[in-house]
Amino acid sequence: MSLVSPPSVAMAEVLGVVGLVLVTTYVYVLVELCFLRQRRLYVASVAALLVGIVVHCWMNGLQAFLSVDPEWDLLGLAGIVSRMPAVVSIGVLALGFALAVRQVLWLRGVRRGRITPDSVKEALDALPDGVCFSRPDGSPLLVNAQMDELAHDLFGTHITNERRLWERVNAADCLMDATSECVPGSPDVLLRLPDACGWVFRRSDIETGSVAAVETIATDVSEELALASELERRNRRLAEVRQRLRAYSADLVRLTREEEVLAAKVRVHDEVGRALVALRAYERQDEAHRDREALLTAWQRTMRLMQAALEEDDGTDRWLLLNEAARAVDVRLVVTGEMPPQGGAFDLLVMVVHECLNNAVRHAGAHEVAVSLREEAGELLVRVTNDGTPPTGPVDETGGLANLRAAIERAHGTMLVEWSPQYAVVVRLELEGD
Amino acid sequence: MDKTRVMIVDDQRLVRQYFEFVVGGCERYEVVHSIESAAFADTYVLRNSIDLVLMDILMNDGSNGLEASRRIKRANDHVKIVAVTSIPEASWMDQAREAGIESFWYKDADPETIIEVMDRTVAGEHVYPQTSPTVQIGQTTSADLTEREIDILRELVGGLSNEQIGQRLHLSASTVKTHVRHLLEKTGCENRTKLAVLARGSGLVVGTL
Repeated sequence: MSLVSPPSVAMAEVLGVVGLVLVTTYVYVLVELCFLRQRRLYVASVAALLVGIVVHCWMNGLQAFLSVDPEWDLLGLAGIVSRMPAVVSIGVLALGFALAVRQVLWLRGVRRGRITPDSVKEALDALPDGVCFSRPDGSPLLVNAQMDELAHDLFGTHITNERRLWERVNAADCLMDATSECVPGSPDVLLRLPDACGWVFRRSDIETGSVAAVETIATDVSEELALASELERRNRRLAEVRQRLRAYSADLVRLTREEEVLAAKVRVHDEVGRALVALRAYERQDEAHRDREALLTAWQRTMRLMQAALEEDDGTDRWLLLNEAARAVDVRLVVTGEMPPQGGAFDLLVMVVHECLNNAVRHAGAHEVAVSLREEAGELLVRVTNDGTPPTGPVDETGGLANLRAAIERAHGTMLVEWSPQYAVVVRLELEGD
Repeated sequence: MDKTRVMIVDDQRLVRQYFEFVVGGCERYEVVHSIESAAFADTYVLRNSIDLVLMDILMNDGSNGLEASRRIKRANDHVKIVAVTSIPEASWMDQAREAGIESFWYKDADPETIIEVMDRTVAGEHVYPQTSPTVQIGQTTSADLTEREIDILRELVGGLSNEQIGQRLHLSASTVKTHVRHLLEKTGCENRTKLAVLARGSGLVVGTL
């Protein structure tokens, strides 16, 4: 059989059946479109249906003319069709088929893009978060699978009332165990569960048009909790390591000092040995050549060294050290009032007096520095003057005075430098917290 | 000839006494003050009674010889200073130079060397060791470390993270990470904590005073 010759009866029957299937498909498409209320597509669909009918008629006419009753062809159309090459009939059928496929695909696209209550539920069920929409009185409107499963896992029941669910979340009233913990927040509530699991529940009022509703969302934060826990563990470990390093450093400074002292003791031992050798040499010398004074001086120095080796280092009292320094430069420190206890104010007071002492010697040639102390409303009022030559004008605050002011102001104190009628540094220091 | 008037500053009595013994035993020097803290050392030099200061660097009362030396130089720049320490901290020599300290030596030197350093300082010389003492750190020595690696090691002993070290040294965290990796490779340490402990224990990095 050739495609350029008219179709046979058998072929016409096959083509007719295929045409019938196509028409059925077009009818289905049209019904679906009507159901989906896609008015814009009606025209195209009706046109496609007509094409289907034409194809069907074509095939049907062809079949009837060839097999049943050639006289049936009243219009002579079937006769024309039957004399046309078979390829034309197949082409018409193929065109109809292509149109049917396009229509079905089109329909599927339309269905896919259309939001329906089912598709909304389906989409929400696919979410990893739990979602529940409810009326303000708590009756659920829409609960996704995750929220339903979560409620069942946590509380042993499905959601029948959202308000009851929220109360149980806030009370950490879970089936898990007593280690469950509720960490309330606003608007979030964290429900910490055993095995480092955790869910954050958020409840908010929403309004869509005239309908008021409540949205409750549960988010799985187990991973975040695990990361936070790991971070906390690492930070704790880091803090421990730092603490140990600091302690180690302090120990090393102590050890270094002990090594220094040990080395000094070894040297003292050597010096004592030398002194003993000198004593033996002295004894072997005749009276005329003996230098008793030199030997005595050497032994006195050696004895002082030995005595120092037996003494412990004193604790350092900064105020006493400052007084010693003042005496070394022939300055008398005269203090009136009560010294503050050891602490921040005491350290700053020492710093103030030290700076004033240095300035009194360098710039005023003073021999006495007076420090007046008075406690007033939780503050220490310090006034430092000297008996030296006063300045002839305002004092530039550079170097030491500038550093002093910065230190005082860092501790929330104040400093005033007066130059007339008498040079004075007046400082107010906070005593609280010392 | 007038003796050179010396002040000794060291927080340990025995070490102080030893220096007094050594310096006082030399007829060219006279110990006029021997004090236990650097906190007020600058006051002592104000009336021109001191020519030379023998200054320890690390004090147990929180004061330090380098800062005290800066203040001494501001108060009286005629006073010459010899800094002495027993800690091989790599940066202290540079800090001493910046503070204007004339000479720098280590405490474990014999008495003759100490006196020689003092003599040369009084004569106007600046006497510094050619290099810091080489100390062993794991499988390597301080001589094999670059200056930048030592800087990073100094911050590392404070327990700082790479980011924090980078901020302090104006480097990126990844650069710091690379340096730390090189340090771990050179020293053979398994982790940065062991590295920090070794470095601190060696005395190479005590910290910036």
